[in-house]
Amino acid sequence: MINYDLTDEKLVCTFSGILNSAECQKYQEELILKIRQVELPVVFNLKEVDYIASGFLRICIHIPKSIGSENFSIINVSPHVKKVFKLSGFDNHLNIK
Amino acid sequence: MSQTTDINAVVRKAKAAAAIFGQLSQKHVDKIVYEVCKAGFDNRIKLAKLAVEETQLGKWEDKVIKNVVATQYIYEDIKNEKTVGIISENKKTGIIEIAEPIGPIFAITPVTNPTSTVLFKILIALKSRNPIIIRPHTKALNCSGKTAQICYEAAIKADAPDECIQWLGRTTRDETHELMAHKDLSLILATGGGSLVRAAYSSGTPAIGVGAGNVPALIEKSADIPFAVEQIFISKTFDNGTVCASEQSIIVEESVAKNTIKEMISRGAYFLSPEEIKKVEKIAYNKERGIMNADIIGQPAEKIAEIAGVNVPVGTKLLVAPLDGVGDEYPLSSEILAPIIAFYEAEDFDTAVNICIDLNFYGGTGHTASIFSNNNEKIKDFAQLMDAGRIVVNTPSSQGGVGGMYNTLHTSFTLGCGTRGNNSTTDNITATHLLNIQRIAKRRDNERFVRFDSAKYFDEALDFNILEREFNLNY
Repeated sequence: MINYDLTDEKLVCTFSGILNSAECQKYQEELILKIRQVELPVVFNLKEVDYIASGFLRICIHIPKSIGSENFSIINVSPHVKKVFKLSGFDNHLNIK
Repeated sequence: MSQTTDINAVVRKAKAAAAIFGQLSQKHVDKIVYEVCKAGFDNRIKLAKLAVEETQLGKWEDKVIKNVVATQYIYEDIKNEKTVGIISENKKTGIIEIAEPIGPIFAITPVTNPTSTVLFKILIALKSRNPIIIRPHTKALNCSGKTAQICYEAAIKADAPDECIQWLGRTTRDETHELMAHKDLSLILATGGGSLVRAAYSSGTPAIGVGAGNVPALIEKSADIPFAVEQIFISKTFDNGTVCASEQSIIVEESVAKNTIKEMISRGAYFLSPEEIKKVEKIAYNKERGIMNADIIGQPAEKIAEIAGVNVPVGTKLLVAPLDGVGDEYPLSSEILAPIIAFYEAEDFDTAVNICIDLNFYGGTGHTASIFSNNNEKIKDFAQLMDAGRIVVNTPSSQGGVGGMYNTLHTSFTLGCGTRGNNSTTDNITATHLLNIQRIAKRRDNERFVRFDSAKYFDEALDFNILEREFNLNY
Protein backbone atom coordinates (compact mmCIF):
# COMPACT_ATOMS: atom_id res chain seq x y z
CA MET A 1 0.00 0.00 0.00
CA ILE A 2 1.03 3.61 -0.56
CA ASN A 3 0.66 6.69 1.61
CA TYR A 4 1.07 10.04 -0.10
CA ASP A 5 2.49 13.02 1.72
CA LEU A 6 2.29 16.15 -0.42
CA THR A 7 4.06 19.36 0.55
CA ASP A 8 4.81 22.51 -1.45
CA GLU A 9 8.20 21.07 -2.32
CA LYS A 10 7.75 17.39 -3.00
CA LEU A 11 5.58 14.33 -3.04
CA VAL A 12 6.70 11.56 -0.68
CA CYS A 13 5.26 8.14 -1.48
CA THR A 14 5.67 5.80 1.46
CA PHE A 15 5.30 2.14 0.56
CA SER A 16 4.72 -0.74 2.93
CA GLY A 17 4.50 -4.50 2.74
CA ILE A 18 5.51 -6.74 -0.09
CA LEU A 19 5.62 -5.02 -3.47
CA ASN A 20 4.89 -8.08 -5.59
CA SER A 21 3.70 -7.98 -9.19
CA ALA A 22 0.02 -7.85 -8.28
CA GLU A 23 0.51 -4.94 -5.85
CA CYS A 24 2.58 -3.01 -8.36
CA GLN A 25 0.00 -3.53 -11.09
CA LYS A 26 -2.73 -2.40 -8.72
CA TYR A 27 -1.03 0.87 -7.82
CA GLN A 28 0.98 1.68 -10.94
CA GLU A 29 -1.70 3.66 -12.76
CA GLU A 30 -2.78 5.62 -9.71
CA LEU A 31 0.82 6.37 -8.79
CA ILE A 32 1.83 7.61 -12.20
CA LEU A 33 -1.32 9.73 -12.47
CA LYS A 34 -0.63 11.30 -9.08
CA ILE A 35 2.98 12.07 -9.98
CA ARG A 36 1.92 13.73 -13.23
CA GLN A 37 -0.70 15.82 -11.44
CA VAL A 38 1.54 17.28 -8.75
CA GLU A 39 4.47 18.21 -11.02
CA LEU A 40 6.86 18.16 -8.07
CA PRO A 41 9.96 16.15 -7.19
CA VAL A 42 9.06 12.65 -6.03
CA VAL A 43 10.54 10.65 -3.19
CA PHE A 44 9.88 6.95 -2.70
CA ASN A 45 10.21 5.99 0.96
CA LEU A 46 10.80 2.22 1.18
CA LYS A 47 11.26 2.00 4.93
CA GLU A 48 8.59 -0.67 5.35
CA VAL A 49 9.44 -2.66 2.23
CA ASP A 50 11.28 -5.98 2.25
CA TYR A 51 10.49 -7.29 -1.21
CA ILE A 52 10.17 -5.66 -4.61
CA ALA A 53 9.04 -7.32 -7.84
CA SER A 54 10.14 -6.54 -11.40
CA GLY A 55 7.03 -4.39 -11.70
CA PHE A 56 8.39 -2.03 -9.04
CA LEU A 57 11.73 -1.73 -10.85
CA ARG A 58 9.74 -0.84 -13.98
CA ILE A 59 7.97 1.93 -12.06
CA CYS A 60 11.34 3.20 -10.77
CA ILE A 61 12.66 3.40 -14.32
CA HIS A 62 9.49 4.95 -15.73
CA ILE A 63 9.26 7.84 -13.29
CA PRO A 64 12.61 9.52 -13.95
CA LYS A 65 11.85 9.33 -17.67
CA SER A 66 8.67 11.24 -17.07
CA ILE A 67 9.81 13.84 -14.51
CA GLY A 68 13.60 13.86 -14.93
CA SER A 69 16.08 11.84 -12.91
CA GLU A 70 17.04 14.88 -10.81
CA ASN A 71 13.48 15.00 -9.51
CA PHE A 72 13.27 11.43 -8.32
CA SER A 73 14.91 9.79 -5.32
CA ILE A 74 14.49 6.68 -3.21
CA ILE A 75 15.14 6.71 0.52
CA ASN A 76 15.26 4.30 3.45
CA VAL A 77 15.98 1.15 1.49
CA SER A 78 16.38 -1.99 3.57
CA PRO A 79 19.53 -4.07 2.97
CA HIS A 80 17.46 -6.68 1.11
CA VAL A 81 16.07 -4.12 -1.29
CA LYS A 82 19.42 -2.36 -1.62
CA LYS A 83 20.97 -5.62 -2.77
CA VAL A 84 18.27 -5.97 -5.45
CA PHE A 85 19.07 -2.49 -6.78
CA LYS A 86 22.79 -3.32 -6.75
CA LEU A 87 22.45 -6.67 -8.49
CA SER A 88 20.09 -5.27 -11.12
CA GLY A 89 22.48 -2.38 -11.79
CA PHE A 90 19.59 0.06 -11.23
CA ASP A 91 21.57 1.80 -8.50
CA ASN A 92 23.71 3.36 -11.24
CA HIS A 93 20.69 5.08 -12.77
CA LEU A 94 18.64 5.96 -9.71
CA ASN A 95 19.25 8.33 -6.85
CA ILE A 96 19.14 5.96 -3.87
CA LYS A 97 19.88 7.48 -0.50
CA MET B 1 65.43 -27.11 -15.74
CA SER B 2 66.61 -24.08 -17.62
CA GLN B 3 65.07 -20.66 -17.81
CA THR B 4 63.63 -20.05 -21.22
CA THR B 5 61.08 -18.01 -23.03
CA ASP B 6 60.78 -20.31 -26.03
CA ILE B 7 57.09 -20.79 -25.43
CA ASN B 8 56.64 -23.78 -27.69
CA ALA B 9 59.55 -25.53 -26.05
CA VAL B 10 58.19 -24.82 -22.58
CA VAL B 11 54.78 -26.23 -23.40
CA ARG B 12 56.25 -29.20 -25.26
CA LYS B 13 58.25 -30.14 -22.15
CA ALA B 14 55.19 -29.69 -19.94
CA LYS B 15 53.12 -31.87 -22.26
CA ALA B 16 55.73 -34.64 -22.06
CA ALA B 17 55.77 -34.33 -18.26
CA ALA B 18 51.97 -34.59 -18.22
CA ALA B 19 52.09 -37.84 -20.17
CA ILE B 20 54.53 -39.36 -17.68
CA PHE B 21 52.63 -37.94 -14.70
CA GLY B 22 49.47 -39.76 -15.75
CA GLN B 23 51.08 -43.11 -14.95
CA LEU B 24 52.01 -42.31 -11.36
CA SER B 25 50.26 -44.03 -8.46
CA GLN B 26 48.70 -42.22 -5.51
CA LYS B 27 51.52 -43.43 -3.29
CA HIS B 28 54.16 -42.09 -5.63
CA VAL B 29 52.39 -38.74 -6.01
CA ASP B 30 52.01 -38.42 -2.25
CA LYS B 31 55.71 -39.07 -1.79
CA ILE B 32 56.56 -36.32 -4.29
CA VAL B 33 54.18 -33.90 -2.57
CA TYR B 34 55.68 -34.71 0.83
CA GLU B 35 59.26 -34.15 -0.36
CA VAL B 36 58.40 -30.87 -2.08
CA CYS B 37 56.45 -29.65 0.95
CA LYS B 38 59.38 -30.54 3.20
CA ALA B 39 61.90 -28.73 0.97
CA GLY B 40 59.71 -25.64 0.81
CA PHE B 41 59.12 -25.69 4.56
CA ASP B 42 62.81 -26.15 5.38
CA ASN B 43 63.63 -23.11 3.24
CA ARG B 44 60.78 -20.99 4.62
CA ILE B 45 63.01 -18.39 6.31
CA LYS B 46 65.55 -18.08 3.52
CA LEU B 47 62.80 -17.62 0.93
CA ALA B 48 60.92 -15.11 3.09
CA LYS B 49 64.01 -12.95 3.50
CA LEU B 50 64.77 -13.25 -0.19
CA ALA B 51 61.22 -12.11 -1.04
CA VAL B 52 61.37 -8.99 1.12
CA GLU B 53 64.90 -8.17 -0.03
CA GLU B 54 63.89 -8.35 -3.69
CA THR B 55 60.37 -6.88 -3.62
CA GLN B 56 60.75 -4.45 -0.70
CA LEU B 57 57.21 -5.38 0.33
CA GLY B 58 55.87 -6.63 3.63
CA LYS B 59 57.67 -8.12 6.63
CA TRP B 60 59.97 -11.13 6.38
CA GLU B 61 58.62 -12.61 9.63
CA ASP B 62 55.08 -12.60 8.19
CA LYS B 63 56.32 -14.00 4.91
CA VAL B 64 57.78 -16.90 6.92
CA ILE B 65 54.27 -17.57 8.23
CA LYS B 66 52.90 -17.37 4.69
CA ASN B 67 55.48 -19.94 3.58
CA VAL B 68 54.51 -22.18 6.51
CA VAL B 69 50.84 -21.94 5.51
CA ALA B 70 51.75 -22.61 1.87
CA THR B 71 53.60 -25.79 2.81
CA GLN B 72 52.62 -27.31 6.16
CA TYR B 73 48.98 -26.17 6.17
CA ILE B 74 48.47 -26.92 2.50
CA TYR B 75 50.00 -30.34 3.04
CA GLU B 76 47.71 -31.03 5.99
CA ASP B 77 44.76 -30.02 3.85
CA ILE B 78 45.56 -32.15 0.79
CA LYS B 79 47.64 -35.06 2.05
CA ASN B 80 44.72 -37.46 2.52
CA GLU B 81 42.83 -36.37 -0.59
CA LYS B 82 42.44 -39.07 -3.22
CA THR B 83 43.58 -37.62 -6.54
CA VAL B 84 44.58 -40.68 -8.55
CA GLY B 85 42.43 -43.29 -10.26
CA ILE B 86 39.18 -44.38 -8.62
CA ILE B 87 38.42 -41.87 -5.90
CA SER B 88 34.87 -42.88 -5.01
CA GLU B 89 32.46 -45.73 -5.62
CA ASN B 90 28.78 -45.60 -4.72
CA LYS B 91 27.15 -48.99 -5.05
CA LYS B 92 23.65 -47.60 -4.57
CA THR B 93 23.82 -45.00 -7.32
CA GLY B 94 26.21 -47.00 -9.49
CA ILE B 95 28.47 -44.01 -9.91
CA ILE B 96 32.22 -44.55 -9.81
CA GLU B 97 34.44 -41.48 -9.97
CA ILE B 98 37.87 -41.52 -11.56
CA ALA B 99 40.35 -38.67 -11.09
CA GLU B 100 42.37 -37.74 -14.13
CA PRO B 101 44.94 -34.95 -14.32
CA ILE B 102 43.94 -31.98 -16.43
CA GLY B 103 47.30 -31.34 -18.08
CA PRO B 104 49.83 -28.49 -18.16
CA ILE B 105 48.99 -25.56 -15.89
CA PHE B 106 50.29 -22.04 -16.37
CA ALA B 107 50.56 -20.24 -13.03
CA ILE B 108 50.90 -16.48 -12.80
CA THR B 109 52.15 -15.46 -9.37
CA PRO B 110 52.02 -12.09 -7.63
CA VAL B 111 54.60 -9.75 -6.16
CA THR B 112 52.74 -9.63 -2.83
CA ASN B 113 53.13 -13.36 -2.05
CA PRO B 114 55.98 -14.27 -4.38
CA THR B 115 57.23 -17.40 -2.62
CA SER B 116 54.14 -18.67 -0.81
CA THR B 117 51.89 -18.58 -3.90
CA VAL B 118 54.56 -20.44 -5.87
CA LEU B 119 54.79 -23.11 -3.15
CA PHE B 120 51.01 -23.41 -2.99
CA LYS B 121 50.42 -23.69 -6.73
CA ILE B 122 53.22 -26.21 -7.16
CA LEU B 123 51.92 -28.43 -4.36
CA ILE B 124 48.33 -28.54 -5.64
CA ALA B 125 49.55 -29.12 -9.21
CA LEU B 126 51.79 -32.01 -8.18
CA LYS B 127 49.10 -33.54 -5.99
CA SER B 128 46.81 -33.64 -9.00
CA ARG B 129 49.60 -34.98 -11.29
CA ASN B 130 49.82 -31.87 -13.41
CA PRO B 131 52.98 -30.17 -14.64
CA ILE B 132 53.16 -26.50 -13.84
CA ILE B 133 54.81 -23.52 -15.50
CA ILE B 134 55.42 -20.61 -13.14
CA ARG B 135 55.46 -17.07 -14.50
CA PRO B 136 56.66 -14.89 -11.60
CA HIS B 137 55.94 -11.20 -11.22
CA THR B 138 58.72 -9.18 -12.86
CA LYS B 139 59.67 -7.66 -9.50
CA ALA B 140 60.00 -11.10 -7.91
CA LEU B 141 61.82 -13.12 -10.56
CA ASN B 142 64.64 -14.21 -8.29
CA CYS B 143 62.73 -15.26 -5.17
CA SER B 144 59.89 -16.92 -7.08
CA GLY B 145 62.37 -18.68 -9.37
CA LYS B 146 64.45 -19.85 -6.41
CA THR B 147 61.29 -21.23 -4.77
CA ALA B 148 60.37 -23.14 -7.90
CA GLN B 149 63.90 -24.47 -8.22
CA ILE B 150 63.92 -25.79 -4.64
CA CYS B 151 60.59 -27.50 -5.28
CA TYR B 152 61.75 -28.96 -8.59
CA GLU B 153 64.93 -30.41 -7.15
CA ALA B 154 62.96 -32.06 -4.36
CA ALA B 155 60.40 -33.40 -6.82
CA ILE B 156 63.08 -34.90 -9.07
CA LYS B 157 64.68 -36.60 -6.07
CA ALA B 158 61.31 -38.24 -5.46
CA ASP B 159 61.29 -39.45 -9.06
CA ALA B 160 58.83 -36.93 -10.47
CA PRO B 161 58.69 -36.48 -14.25
CA ASP B 162 61.35 -34.26 -15.81
CA GLU B 163 60.16 -30.68 -16.32
CA CYS B 164 57.14 -31.20 -14.09
CA ILE B 165 57.94 -27.72 -12.71
CA GLN B 166 59.20 -24.99 -15.00
CA TRP B 167 59.68 -21.34 -14.22
CA LEU B 168 60.13 -18.47 -16.56
CA GLY B 169 62.49 -15.56 -16.39
CA ARG B 170 61.48 -12.12 -17.58
CA THR B 171 58.86 -12.57 -20.24
CA THR B 172 57.38 -10.05 -22.61
CA ARG B 173 53.66 -9.39 -22.67
CA ASP B 174 53.49 -11.13 -26.06
CA GLU B 175 55.22 -14.23 -24.73
CA THR B 176 52.87 -14.38 -21.76
CA HIS B 177 49.85 -14.04 -24.05
CA GLU B 178 51.25 -16.65 -26.43
CA LEU B 179 51.65 -19.08 -23.57
CA MET B 180 48.19 -18.38 -22.20
CA ALA B 181 46.63 -19.11 -25.58
CA HIS B 182 48.77 -22.15 -26.38
CA LYS B 183 46.67 -25.03 -27.64
CA ASP B 184 48.43 -27.57 -25.42
CA LEU B 185 47.91 -25.62 -22.22
CA SER B 186 45.06 -26.93 -20.04
CA LEU B 187 44.50 -24.27 -17.39
CA ILE B 188 45.70 -20.87 -16.25
CA LEU B 189 45.88 -20.17 -12.52
CA ALA B 190 46.13 -16.39 -12.54
CA THR B 191 46.94 -14.32 -9.48
CA GLY B 192 47.95 -10.80 -10.33
CA GLY B 193 46.79 -7.45 -11.59
CA GLY B 194 43.38 -6.96 -13.18
CA SER B 195 44.66 -6.68 -16.75
CA LEU B 196 46.66 -9.90 -16.49
CA VAL B 197 43.70 -11.80 -15.04
CA ARG B 198 41.42 -10.42 -17.79
CA ALA B 199 43.98 -11.49 -20.41
CA ALA B 200 43.92 -14.99 -18.92
CA TYR B 201 40.13 -15.14 -19.19
CA SER B 202 40.14 -13.95 -22.78
CA SER B 203 42.91 -16.31 -23.90
CA GLY B 204 40.54 -19.13 -24.80
CA THR B 205 42.20 -21.44 -22.25
CA PRO B 206 40.19 -22.35 -19.14
CA ALA B 207 41.30 -20.04 -16.35
CA ILE B 208 40.85 -19.55 -12.63
CA GLY B 209 41.74 -15.99 -11.73
CA VAL B 210 41.70 -14.17 -8.46
CA GLY B 211 39.32 -11.24 -8.41
CA ALA B 212 39.97 -8.11 -6.43
CA GLY B 213 38.78 -7.87 -2.85
CA ASN B 214 37.31 -4.99 -0.90
CA VAL B 215 36.58 -6.62 2.41
CA PRO B 216 34.17 -4.87 4.78
CA ALA B 217 34.43 -5.84 8.46
CA LEU B 218 31.20 -5.14 10.32
CA ILE B 219 31.43 -4.78 14.08
CA GLU B 220 27.90 -5.47 15.29
CA LYS B 221 26.84 -4.23 18.72
CA SER B 222 26.89 -7.70 20.32
CA ALA B 223 30.56 -8.16 19.36
CA ASP B 224 33.36 -8.50 21.91
CA ILE B 225 34.90 -5.16 20.98
CA PRO B 226 38.48 -5.53 22.34
CA PHE B 227 38.64 -8.98 20.75
CA ALA B 228 37.26 -7.74 17.43
CA VAL B 229 39.76 -4.89 17.24
CA GLU B 230 42.63 -7.19 18.21
CA GLN B 231 41.66 -9.65 15.46
CA ILE B 232 41.38 -6.94 12.82
CA PHE B 233 44.83 -5.67 13.79
CA ILE B 234 46.29 -9.20 13.53
CA SER B 235 44.88 -9.39 10.02
CA LYS B 236 45.27 -5.90 8.59
CA THR B 237 48.83 -5.35 9.77
CA PHE B 238 49.96 -8.85 8.74
CA ASP B 239 52.69 -8.50 6.12
CA ASN B 240 51.74 -4.80 5.99
CA GLY B 241 48.32 -5.56 4.56
CA THR B 242 49.32 -7.43 1.39
CA VAL B 243 46.70 -10.18 1.70
CA CYS B 244 43.74 -9.66 -0.67
CA ALA B 245 41.38 -11.05 1.98
CA SER B 246 42.45 -8.41 4.51
CA GLU B 247 39.94 -5.92 5.88
CA GLN B 248 39.64 -2.74 3.84
CA SER B 249 37.10 -1.02 6.05
CA ILE B 250 35.54 -1.20 9.49
CA ILE B 251 31.83 -0.49 9.81
CA VAL B 252 30.74 -0.14 13.38
CA GLU B 253 27.36 0.40 14.99
CA GLU B 254 27.16 3.80 16.63
CA SER B 255 26.43 2.37 20.09
CA VAL B 256 29.83 0.64 20.21
CA ALA B 257 31.81 3.09 18.08
CA LYS B 258 33.40 4.97 20.96
CA ASN B 259 34.73 1.81 22.56
CA THR B 260 35.95 0.54 19.17
CA ILE B 261 37.87 3.77 18.49
CA LYS B 262 39.42 3.67 21.97
CA GLU B 263 40.55 0.06 21.45
CA MET B 264 41.95 0.89 18.04
CA ILE B 265 43.97 3.84 19.27
CA SER B 266 45.35 1.79 22.16
CA ARG B 267 46.67 -0.73 19.61
CA GLY B 268 48.43 1.79 17.42
CA ALA B 269 45.74 3.18 15.13
CA TYR B 270 46.03 6.76 13.97
CA PHE B 271 42.77 8.43 12.93
CA LEU B 272 43.39 10.76 9.99
CA SER B 273 41.78 14.20 9.85
CA PRO B 274 39.90 15.17 6.63
CA GLU B 275 42.97 17.13 5.45
CA GLU B 276 45.26 14.18 6.20
CA ILE B 277 42.90 11.83 4.34
CA LYS B 278 43.36 13.97 1.23
CA LYS B 279 47.14 13.72 1.60
CA VAL B 280 47.05 9.94 2.00
CA GLU B 281 44.62 9.56 -0.91
CA LYS B 282 47.08 11.30 -3.20
CA ILE B 283 49.86 8.82 -2.56
CA ALA B 284 47.78 5.68 -1.97
CA TYR B 285 45.46 5.80 -4.95
CA ASN B 286 46.05 6.30 -8.64
CA LYS B 287 42.94 8.21 -9.74
CA GLU B 288 43.74 7.92 -13.44
CA ARG B 289 43.94 4.15 -13.36
CA GLY B 290 41.33 3.77 -10.64
CA ILE B 291 43.47 1.44 -8.53
CA MET B 292 45.77 1.55 -5.52
CA ASN B 293 49.23 3.00 -6.07
CA ALA B 294 51.78 0.17 -6.34
CA ASP B 295 54.42 2.20 -4.48
CA ILE B 296 52.63 1.99 -1.14
CA ILE B 297 51.59 -1.68 -1.30
CA GLY B 298 52.98 -3.60 1.66
CA GLN B 299 54.70 -0.58 3.23
CA PRO B 300 54.53 0.14 6.99
CA ALA B 301 51.98 2.69 8.22
CA GLU B 302 54.65 5.10 9.49
CA LYS B 303 56.45 5.10 6.13
CA ILE B 304 53.20 5.75 4.26
CA ALA B 305 52.42 8.63 6.62
CA GLU B 306 55.87 10.06 6.06
CA ILE B 307 55.52 9.87 2.26
CA ALA B 308 52.11 11.55 2.54
CA GLY B 309 53.46 14.29 4.79
CA VAL B 310 51.34 13.32 7.77
CA ASN B 311 52.83 13.38 11.26
CA VAL B 312 51.92 10.28 13.25
CA PRO B 313 53.07 9.05 16.67
CA VAL B 314 56.00 6.66 16.73
CA GLY B 315 54.68 3.10 16.77
CA THR B 316 51.65 3.80 14.56
CA LYS B 317 50.57 0.53 12.98
CA LEU B 318 47.43 1.46 11.10
CA LEU B 319 46.18 4.60 9.36
CA VAL B 320 42.42 4.96 9.78
CA ALA B 321 40.33 7.10 7.45
CA PRO B 322 36.88 8.00 8.83
CA LEU B 323 34.68 8.34 5.73
CA ASP B 324 31.03 9.14 5.12
CA GLY B 325 30.69 7.65 1.68
CA VAL B 326 31.75 4.89 -0.69
CA GLY B 327 32.91 5.19 -4.31
CA ASP B 328 35.15 7.18 -6.61
CA GLU B 329 34.79 10.32 -4.49
CA TYR B 330 36.26 8.38 -1.57
CA PRO B 331 39.42 6.66 -2.90
CA LEU B 332 40.23 5.08 0.46
CA SER B 333 36.95 3.17 0.31
CA SER B 334 38.57 0.93 -2.33
CA GLU B 335 41.03 -1.94 -1.98
CA ILE B 336 44.40 -0.72 -0.67
CA LEU B 337 46.87 -3.51 0.14
CA ALA B 338 48.63 -1.57 2.89
CA PRO B 339 47.96 -0.72 6.57
CA ILE B 340 45.30 1.85 5.66
CA ILE B 341 41.68 1.19 6.56
CA ALA B 342 38.43 3.10 6.01
CA PHE B 343 36.17 3.61 9.02
CA TYR B 344 32.39 4.14 9.10
CA GLU B 345 29.94 4.69 11.93
CA ALA B 346 26.34 3.57 11.31
CA GLU B 347 23.31 4.40 13.38
CA ASP B 348 22.01 0.81 13.40
CA PHE B 349 22.59 -2.67 12.00
CA ASP B 350 20.62 -2.14 8.77
CA THR B 351 22.49 1.06 7.99
CA ALA B 352 25.79 -0.70 8.69
CA VAL B 353 24.83 -3.55 6.34
CA ASN B 354 23.88 -1.06 3.63
CA ILE B 355 27.36 0.49 3.86
CA CYS B 356 28.86 -3.00 3.64
CA ILE B 357 26.80 -3.69 0.50
CA ASP B 358 28.13 -0.49 -1.08
CA LEU B 359 31.72 -1.45 -0.19
CA ASN B 360 31.20 -5.03 -1.32
CA PHE B 361 29.94 -3.86 -4.72
CA TYR B 362 32.69 -1.26 -5.02
CA GLY B 363 35.29 -3.65 -6.40
CA GLY B 364 34.97 -6.62 -4.08
CA THR B 365 32.06 -8.77 -5.23
CA GLY B 366 32.56 -12.47 -4.71
CA HIS B 367 35.64 -12.19 -2.52
CA THR B 368 35.40 -12.01 1.28
CA ALA B 369 33.32 -10.25 3.94
CA SER B 370 33.81 -10.20 7.69
CA ILE B 371 31.55 -9.77 10.69
CA PHE B 372 32.20 -9.61 14.43
CA SER B 373 29.03 -10.52 16.29
CA ASN B 374 27.59 -12.84 18.89
CA ASN B 375 24.12 -12.77 17.36
CA ASN B 376 23.65 -15.73 15.03
CA GLU B 377 20.57 -14.29 13.34
CA LYS B 378 22.43 -11.13 12.39
CA ILE B 379 25.42 -13.14 11.19
CA LYS B 380 23.15 -15.11 8.86
CA ASP B 381 21.35 -11.96 7.67
CA PHE B 382 24.66 -10.27 6.95
CA ALA B 383 26.03 -13.31 5.11
CA GLN B 384 23.00 -13.55 2.83
CA LEU B 385 23.24 -9.87 1.92
CA MET B 386 26.93 -9.94 1.05
CA ASP B 387 28.13 -11.10 -2.34
CA ALA B 388 31.15 -13.00 -1.04
CA GLY B 389 32.58 -16.46 -1.47
CA ARG B 390 33.53 -16.55 2.18
CA ILE B 391 32.01 -14.68 5.09
CA VAL B 392 34.35 -15.00 8.04
CA VAL B 393 32.96 -14.63 11.55
CA ASN B 394 34.88 -13.35 14.58
CA THR B 395 38.07 -14.03 12.66
CA PRO B 396 40.98 -12.04 11.22
CA SER B 397 39.91 -12.05 7.58
CA SER B 398 43.39 -12.34 6.00
CA GLN B 399 43.99 -15.62 7.76
CA GLY B 400 40.31 -16.61 7.81
CA GLY B 401 39.90 -16.25 4.06
CA VAL B 402 42.98 -18.36 3.38
CA GLY B 403 41.50 -21.13 5.55
CA GLY B 404 42.97 -23.82 7.76
CA MET B 405 43.98 -21.69 10.73
CA TYR B 406 40.77 -20.19 12.11
CA ASN B 407 38.19 -22.28 10.26
CA THR B 408 37.86 -25.44 8.22
CA LEU B 409 37.84 -23.83 4.77
CA HIS B 410 40.36 -25.41 2.41
CA THR B 411 43.73 -23.72 2.86
CA SER B 412 44.40 -21.81 -0.33
CA PHE B 413 46.22 -18.87 -1.86
CA THR B 414 43.70 -18.70 -4.71
CA LEU B 415 40.30 -17.64 -3.47
CA GLY B 416 37.47 -18.18 -5.94
CA CYS B 417 35.17 -15.18 -6.29
CA GLY B 418 32.19 -16.65 -8.11
CA THR B 419 30.66 -15.33 -11.29
CA ARG B 420 30.46 -11.74 -10.11
CA GLY B 421 34.22 -11.88 -9.51
CA ASN B 422 34.60 -13.47 -12.99
CA ASN B 423 35.31 -16.90 -11.52
CA SER B 424 33.55 -20.19 -12.11
CA THR B 425 33.58 -20.99 -8.39
CA THR B 426 33.49 -19.38 -4.96
CA ASP B 427 35.60 -22.22 -3.51
CA ASN B 428 39.03 -21.89 -2.01
CA ILE B 429 40.95 -23.47 -4.89
CA THR B 430 42.77 -26.67 -4.04
CA ALA B 431 44.12 -29.83 -5.71
CA THR B 432 40.67 -31.25 -6.43
CA HIS B 433 39.92 -28.28 -8.70
CA LEU B 434 42.78 -29.39 -10.94
CA LEU B 435 41.26 -32.74 -11.85
CA ASN B 436 38.99 -33.97 -14.58
CA ILE B 437 36.51 -36.27 -12.86
CA GLN B 438 35.30 -39.10 -15.07
CA ARG B 439 32.16 -40.90 -13.97
CA ILE B 440 31.29 -44.49 -14.68
CA ALA B 441 27.49 -44.67 -14.62
CA LYS B 442 26.39 -48.28 -14.11
CA ARG B 443 22.86 -49.23 -15.02
CA ARG B 444 20.39 -48.42 -12.29
CA ASP B 445 16.88 -48.38 -13.78
CA ASN B 446 14.63 -45.50 -12.84
CA GLU B 447 11.67 -47.52 -11.59
CA ARG B 448 9.14 -44.86 -12.58
CA PHE B 449 10.56 -44.52 -16.08
CA VAL B 450 10.39 -48.30 -16.62
CA ARG B 451 6.82 -48.82 -15.46
CA PHE B 452 5.36 -45.64 -16.98
CA ASP B 453 3.53 -45.98 -20.25
CA SER B 454 5.45 -43.48 -22.37
CA ALA B 455 2.78 -43.64 -25.10
CA LYS B 456 0.83 -41.24 -22.89
CA TYR B 457 3.28 -38.45 -23.73
CA PHE B 458 1.71 -38.41 -27.20
CA ASP B 459 -1.83 -37.82 -25.93
CA GLU B 460 -2.46 -34.07 -26.14
CA ALA B 461 -5.39 -34.35 -23.72
CA LEU B 462 -3.02 -35.21 -20.89
CA ASP B 463 -1.34 -32.17 -19.34
CA PHE B 464 1.65 -31.90 -17.03
CA ASN B 465 -0.33 -32.17 -13.80
CA ILE B 466 -2.01 -35.42 -14.83
CA LEU B 467 1.14 -37.07 -16.12
CA GLU B 468 3.33 -35.86 -13.26
CA ARG B 469 0.89 -37.44 -10.80
CA GLU B 470 0.76 -40.70 -12.74
CA PHE B 471 4.55 -40.81 -13.11
CA ASN B 472 5.00 -40.54 -9.34
CA LEU B 473 1.97 -42.59 -8.28
CA ASN B 474 2.69 -44.83 -5.28
CA TYR B 475 6.33 -43.92 -5.46
